[in-house]
Amino acid sequence: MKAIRYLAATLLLALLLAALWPGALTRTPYDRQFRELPNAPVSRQFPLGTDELGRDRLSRLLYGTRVSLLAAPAAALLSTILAALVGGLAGFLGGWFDRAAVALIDLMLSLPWLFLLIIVRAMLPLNVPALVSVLLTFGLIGLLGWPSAARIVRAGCRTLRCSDLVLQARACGLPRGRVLLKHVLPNVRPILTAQFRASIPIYILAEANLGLLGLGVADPLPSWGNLLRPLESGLAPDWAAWAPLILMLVVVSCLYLTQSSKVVVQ
Amino acid sequence: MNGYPLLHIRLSIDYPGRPRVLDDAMLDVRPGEIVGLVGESGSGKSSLALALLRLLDLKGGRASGNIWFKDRDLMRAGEREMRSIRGKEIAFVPQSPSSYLNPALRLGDQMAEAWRAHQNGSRAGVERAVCRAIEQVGLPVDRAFLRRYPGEVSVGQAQRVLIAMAVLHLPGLLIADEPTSSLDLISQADVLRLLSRLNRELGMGILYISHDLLSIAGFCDRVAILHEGRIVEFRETDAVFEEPEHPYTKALIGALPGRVMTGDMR
Repeated sequence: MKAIRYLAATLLLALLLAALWPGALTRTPYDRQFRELPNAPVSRQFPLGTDELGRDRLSRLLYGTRVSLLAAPAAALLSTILAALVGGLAGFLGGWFDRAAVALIDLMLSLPWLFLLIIVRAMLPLNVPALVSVLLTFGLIGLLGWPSAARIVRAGCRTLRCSDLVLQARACGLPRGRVLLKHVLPNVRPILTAQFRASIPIYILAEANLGLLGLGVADPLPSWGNLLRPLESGLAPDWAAWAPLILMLVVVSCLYLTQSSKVVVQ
Repeated sequence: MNGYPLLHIRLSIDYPGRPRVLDDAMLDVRPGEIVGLVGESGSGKSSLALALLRLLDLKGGRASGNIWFKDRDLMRAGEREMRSIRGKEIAFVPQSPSSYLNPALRLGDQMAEAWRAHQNGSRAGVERAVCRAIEQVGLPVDRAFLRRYPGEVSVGQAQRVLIAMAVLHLPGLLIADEPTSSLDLISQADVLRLLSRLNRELGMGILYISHDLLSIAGFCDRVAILHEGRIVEFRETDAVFEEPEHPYTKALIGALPGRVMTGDMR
């Protein structure tokens, strides 16, 4: 188990480094089109060949890794902050706010979130610059991903609400917002970190799903989602297997690492 | 010391399913005076302390009556006004330091929070105030100590930190709810000596709640005996010991081992 965790961590680290400095492995920009060489086979110049527009596949894979590996944690951070805010306030304040928040959480959890994601993303403009599409996709994932985490945070804050340490903080005259921020949330931090780590692989997969449907990151910027698109046709060339392979390895690695951290929390 | 009471209460407390835990209890504390409130476990002593801070709802109870503090009735005060009184004019020293201190926050930060609840000021100002309070309770004034977490100091030290937090703003009234119950005999005497010294030096009134008549005999100016939700006797300490009036008081004094020495702690 420990060996697998080390392996997973090494793999993620290596991919992260490759994603941060793709220039170390390839000199071709991800959007440069070699018009005379579309669908080129594997060669010295193009280690993974080129796509139908003549773009270097290795370069696209590396830059796509960068988008997915960096944006997913950002989305996870966003949804964890939202979960801390909504769940924390609901559990700590109680009363009508708690009831409203629980109703909203239940409503959002009752909808299958991938469908919700697809519907909402489809309603937003699709013809946007590539960078905006990254923000839109991962922003949306983060904005829709908080309810299940919020529910756990709420349960943690609810037990702390009547605890002696909150009583002491209130008796010192601290305003309620300050008590929540300084005394309640730090004590549910293990829950928050576990939720943050568990969200990352889920969000990577969610982006891949959206990308596969053409609702994710827009061309010419590559992402694991839109790199998977050629698989749709069923006539996928050999190289296309690289994106799902890396995707699978990353998700499995993340899961192994989160599992271990959950054990620590418990 | 003048005769005008600092605090004058007439209070009843109900819990759901447990009406009249405190039944029309009358009590007053003069400025600079130490009043002992003695009663058996579960007689509503701690509820009274919480009710004075208007924090009883955290434990699910409801108080009715009047709490005259200086010239206003705290039962009619809004939350904003209560917040400005808690910790600043009425401070609270709780029972067991282990559960009342936030395990996720360093001692120094916790005290700084309590200071900032009522004062804004520079970092240096906060540190000065914290160090002064720490010195007053006889704890080592060094950064290494303030950087510790509550779990890293002894119970006696933690109790002193709580007392230091309570005297930060030089309150007019200190409510001490069995602050010695989790300490060994020597630390108990230390804490009583400390409170008595703070009372002399800072001139604050103390409402000292205890189940142990003997320990507070030499420490309080007046003693109130709480029995079955009512204050059955409230007189000068010496008078209570010399000629107890109520049968319960007689039983309490009769149960004390040996002859009681009064007046030896001051």
